[in-house]
Amino acid sequence: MKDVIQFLFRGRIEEVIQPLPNLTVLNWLRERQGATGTKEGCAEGDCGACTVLVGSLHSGKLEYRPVNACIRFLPTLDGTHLITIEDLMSDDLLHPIQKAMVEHHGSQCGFCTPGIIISLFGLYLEKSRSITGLTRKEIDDALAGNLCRCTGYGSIISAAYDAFSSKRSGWVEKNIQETTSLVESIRPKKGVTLDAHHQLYFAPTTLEHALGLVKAYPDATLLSGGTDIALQVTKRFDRLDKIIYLGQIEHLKSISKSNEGWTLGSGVTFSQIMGISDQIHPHLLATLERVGSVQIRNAGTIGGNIANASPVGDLSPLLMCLNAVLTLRTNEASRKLPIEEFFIEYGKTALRSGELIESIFIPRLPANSRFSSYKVSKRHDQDISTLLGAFRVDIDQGIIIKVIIAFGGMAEIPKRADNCEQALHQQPWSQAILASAAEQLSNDYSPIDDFRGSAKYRSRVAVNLLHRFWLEQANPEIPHRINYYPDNIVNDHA
Amino acid sequence: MIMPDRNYHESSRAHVTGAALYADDISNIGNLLHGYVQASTLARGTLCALNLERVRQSPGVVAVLTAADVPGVNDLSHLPDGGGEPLFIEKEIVSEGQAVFAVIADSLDNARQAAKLAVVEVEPSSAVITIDQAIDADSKIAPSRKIKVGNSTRAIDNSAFQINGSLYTGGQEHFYLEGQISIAIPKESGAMTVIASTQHPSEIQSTLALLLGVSSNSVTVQTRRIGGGFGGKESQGSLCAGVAAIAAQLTSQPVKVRLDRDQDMIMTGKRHDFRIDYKAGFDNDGLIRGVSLDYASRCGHSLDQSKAVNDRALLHADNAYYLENATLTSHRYHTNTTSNTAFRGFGAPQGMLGIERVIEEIAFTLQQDPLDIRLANLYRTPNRSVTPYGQEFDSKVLVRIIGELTEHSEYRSRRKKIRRFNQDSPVIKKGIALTPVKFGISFTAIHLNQAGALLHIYRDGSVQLNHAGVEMGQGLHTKILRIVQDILTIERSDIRIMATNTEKIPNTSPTAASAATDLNGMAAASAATVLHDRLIKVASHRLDLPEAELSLSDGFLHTGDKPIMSFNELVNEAYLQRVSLFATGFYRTPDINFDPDSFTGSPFYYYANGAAVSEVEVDLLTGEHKVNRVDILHEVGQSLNEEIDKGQIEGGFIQGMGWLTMEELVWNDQGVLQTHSPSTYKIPTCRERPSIVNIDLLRDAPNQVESIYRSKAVGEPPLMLSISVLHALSDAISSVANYRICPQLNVPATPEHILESVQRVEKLGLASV
Repeated sequence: MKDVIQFLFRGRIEEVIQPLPNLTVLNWLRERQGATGTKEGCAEGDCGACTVLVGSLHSGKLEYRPVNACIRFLPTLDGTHLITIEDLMSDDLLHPIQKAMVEHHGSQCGFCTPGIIISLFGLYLEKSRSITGLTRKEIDDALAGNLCRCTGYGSIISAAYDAFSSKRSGWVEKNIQETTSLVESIRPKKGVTLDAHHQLYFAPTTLEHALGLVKAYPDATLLSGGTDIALQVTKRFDRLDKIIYLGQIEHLKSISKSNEGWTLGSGVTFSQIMGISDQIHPHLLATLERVGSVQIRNAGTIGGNIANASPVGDLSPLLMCLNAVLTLRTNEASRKLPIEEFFIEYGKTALRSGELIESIFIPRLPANSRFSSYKVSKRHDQDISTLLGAFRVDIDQGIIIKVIIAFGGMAEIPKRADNCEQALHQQPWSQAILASAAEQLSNDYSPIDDFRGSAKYRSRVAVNLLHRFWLEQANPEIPHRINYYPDNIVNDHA
Repeated sequence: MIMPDRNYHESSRAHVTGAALYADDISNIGNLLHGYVQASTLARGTLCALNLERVRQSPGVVAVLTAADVPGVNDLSHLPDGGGEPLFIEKEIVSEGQAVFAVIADSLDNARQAAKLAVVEVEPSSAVITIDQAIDADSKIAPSRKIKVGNSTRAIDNSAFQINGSLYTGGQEHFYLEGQISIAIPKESGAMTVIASTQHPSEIQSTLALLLGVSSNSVTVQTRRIGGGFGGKESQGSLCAGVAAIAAQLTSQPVKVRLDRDQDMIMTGKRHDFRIDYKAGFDNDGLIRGVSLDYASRCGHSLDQSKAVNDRALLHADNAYYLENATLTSHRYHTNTTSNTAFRGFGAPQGMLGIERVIEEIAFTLQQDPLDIRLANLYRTPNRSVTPYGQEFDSKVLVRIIGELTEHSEYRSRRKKIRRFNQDSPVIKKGIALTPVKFGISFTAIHLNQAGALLHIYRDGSVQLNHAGVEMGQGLHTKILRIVQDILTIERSDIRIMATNTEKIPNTSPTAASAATDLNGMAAASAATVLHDRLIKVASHRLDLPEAELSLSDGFLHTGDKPIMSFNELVNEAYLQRVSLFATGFYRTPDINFDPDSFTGSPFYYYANGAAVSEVEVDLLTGEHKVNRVDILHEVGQSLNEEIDKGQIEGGFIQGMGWLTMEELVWNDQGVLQTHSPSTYKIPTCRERPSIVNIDLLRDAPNQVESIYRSKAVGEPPLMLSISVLHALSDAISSVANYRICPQLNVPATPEHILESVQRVEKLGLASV
């Protein structure tokens, strides 16, 4: 074990001995390094003004992903490359994205600008491996976690099209070989233990070690992406005295595929799942794209989303429909649990003391399965669900032989619609049967009123979403949901 | 098209490299202390006891401030009658978010941790939260105001048709990306310098003088740039500045006070929310014979700028329409919520929503295109050209705008197409609407329409430019640099724009009312012209040539086409001739007058006009929507910078769209704000920006009055172009009952409100079949 973390910063290896476990990357940059180009806009990962790029090695390749520095603890940078807005210029020349932002008036007050540029830079690096042109959807996806209050975004969109048409590249792109070997040289082989100002921090690199720590420190906070946990520090100003960080355990980040289905390590991020979701079911992506933002999906993990047990966790209803099974581990034993049995009541799960979610198994859907899911929120991007419905029917000769309907935001936990399912089971797949079964939803759920929506709205929309599931299956040629990128709209820059 | 370098935002290079410094980025201040303000969590009640002993003992704490520590007057209200808004609560709590005490410590974290240790005892009492509660309680914060022309009651009664109804509009959080912040640095002999994120340095200065019990000449306030304002930093900066300055005076150390996002959203004021009750009478031709509009607004716990905001709502109750018989009334209500304040548009957007709803109701009643009702009611010279407050409005430009836009946007044919689309689309419904904007330019408080500039030329020919306006992203400095550059004919790089500073220009007006370029541009032009003329005189003296034969161009003194000496040489010659190389400029807007008592006069130097067509689609199953296309034709006179003007138009439009569609402030029954961070309060993201946005500036339309370069103000007017989105949504919703029922959509048109409206229209549609 070591008490120092190392990461690449400004072209050299930065060593921080005993960093404060609760110190965010943003505060380290601004307060300790005087690097004030990265801004605090909200301290909760919702505005993107603090966006930085974190480069880490994946199968020998350096991949850079935008994350929110305001909710990322400094010790978790161990073994990575940190890039901020100050890194983008080379030889006094603006990066093409910076240049285009100037020339298209992409900044007005300028406060969100560094974050916007870093997010676009993340996309730029990603697209440098692709031969297809930039689309409006890619820009919107990349910037979904970056709020700008001045421009209305048009000038930023123009700047992105312009910058991505340029061939020139900055030093980050030029030096990728050298950087890769530098990052390789600091790859964490040993776990980290920090004990600073009564704050304990462990970053084990093996599952066994992690399980030992979980047993030894049952009251420790288990940290993965930190997109929720970090808010205890940055919003409630609490101190996390004991942290076990699971993000250095390669085993938990693995994805494997078999004839039966997919096994995802609990440390797999949302971004990783999106990379394979089409293989599981083509309808998954549209919902996954609405979870958080690029920054959040790069950090947030599948295990974190489940273990958090939030009533509005977006993954759980989907996984319920897919009959996902969790593998829960201690150092002594391992057990399997269908995901719906994991949630017991608000804030309470089936996870026992000393136990970790090791992986999630998603069985292959049979060919006769029809599946879809719909997220509803006030805003399309980076918004917590008012409700989320996931629907699946397996049909044999016109009869529903298996049905799963699960909702988030409708109860104190993500929950299946038992009564509604029962009303559909072994019934013909027809609009009349569905309409009558929909009435059962009021027996399944008693949603609450809150600022995201009234109980009345949630109940009504739950019924409507089931209706949409029917409509889309029955009449796929007619549009039944808003089309964000209609074919007939040609943008003026492409 | 890429514009030449001089047109880019003056700070753009600094913005994109992260080198632009905002207040929180200034790091070279020694011994800096940090303040944390503890806000009340109770909306109304009494502060019974405050035990701060443990707070004082907490690590790193240097001082704890309460009302008792204010050396001068504990008031932020900036009003002559004062007393409306204490910096710290003394006894009475009138809103959540009021400051109870402040902790000053060696780090922000230590200050926050210490604040948790306070023991605050309060006695709650019943609070007035919503507008409806305030109306029931008749809790007025200021007298109601009324504009009356003709006899609306009789005109409505005598009309063939009558409509009436109500409309609720929500408030809006500014959500400037840079939150409120001030740094106070004590200087010798009781002087204080404050770096503040504010639109109004002079008001911070005078408020601090009152709080500290010193005269204004002891306080200097400076602002280089702010990370967005939108009205939210016009009066709201005094809180941070006040705490920082008092703490700095007490500790003799520099103190920074920066609100975090939640504090900022809980503690500072927002756009006023309104209830608008309307009644109108009209005949078959769609002409409004008589109208009565009652505006009730939630002002919050103190007056702040509520009088002026509500005045402007009344002054825009007509929007673009001639009202022969009208009774326009404004009621200003006291509520136990945050004190609402200026926000881009300053009451006018709410004012316009009422009459636009009336137009819509008429269109539904008569089964006509709302555009035709709008055209029928537009101001027309000569007989239908006087506003309810008595100012003449020449609608020629607006008529031209609507005509050109209707054609270019293909409004009429698209409307037909959309109706055909809707017939075959059971779940997704499209809608389209065109709405106009007529916005009056000038502060209605006449005395604010003044500005100053101070120009220094140094011996090497380099120039420092000071003026009274604050750069908040709107491109003000870029425009003013251009003006000075044009007059002195030097490169932009030879002119350095200085931080706005009360040391340089005293008694400044806020950067607000869209008027900063109009006012400061004229003042800067005046200063530059004085220096230009002096330099010509110097040259004339030196060369013994008549002034008329000498001119400056491209940085050289010319006779005819022949360059004689460089600007730098000329400047040095002036110095040697002992001629002053600095000058002030001052400007006051001419020809405006307004009597706030009778509510009559010509308060506006001119009007800025525009119109927009928006097309939307609505999901009938969830109430979600998307804006697909926007066409805008807007008037900026002779533009000082077209790209910046277009940026203002698009930014204003999207911000208005956010207000009208997705930004929802929710307080619970106890008056505690539930939506106080971006995780719960949603402003538009990139995806909300429609796929097609066509923004055109009206060509060949110089300002008819003498303004700087015959340009027109552009900050606020475009925000109201977004009203077209609300009406397009309404159009889409009304399709569910074959366009027979007015959806009466409330603001914000969230998915839930849209779905409610859909259900209402469906129900009424069935009933009326």
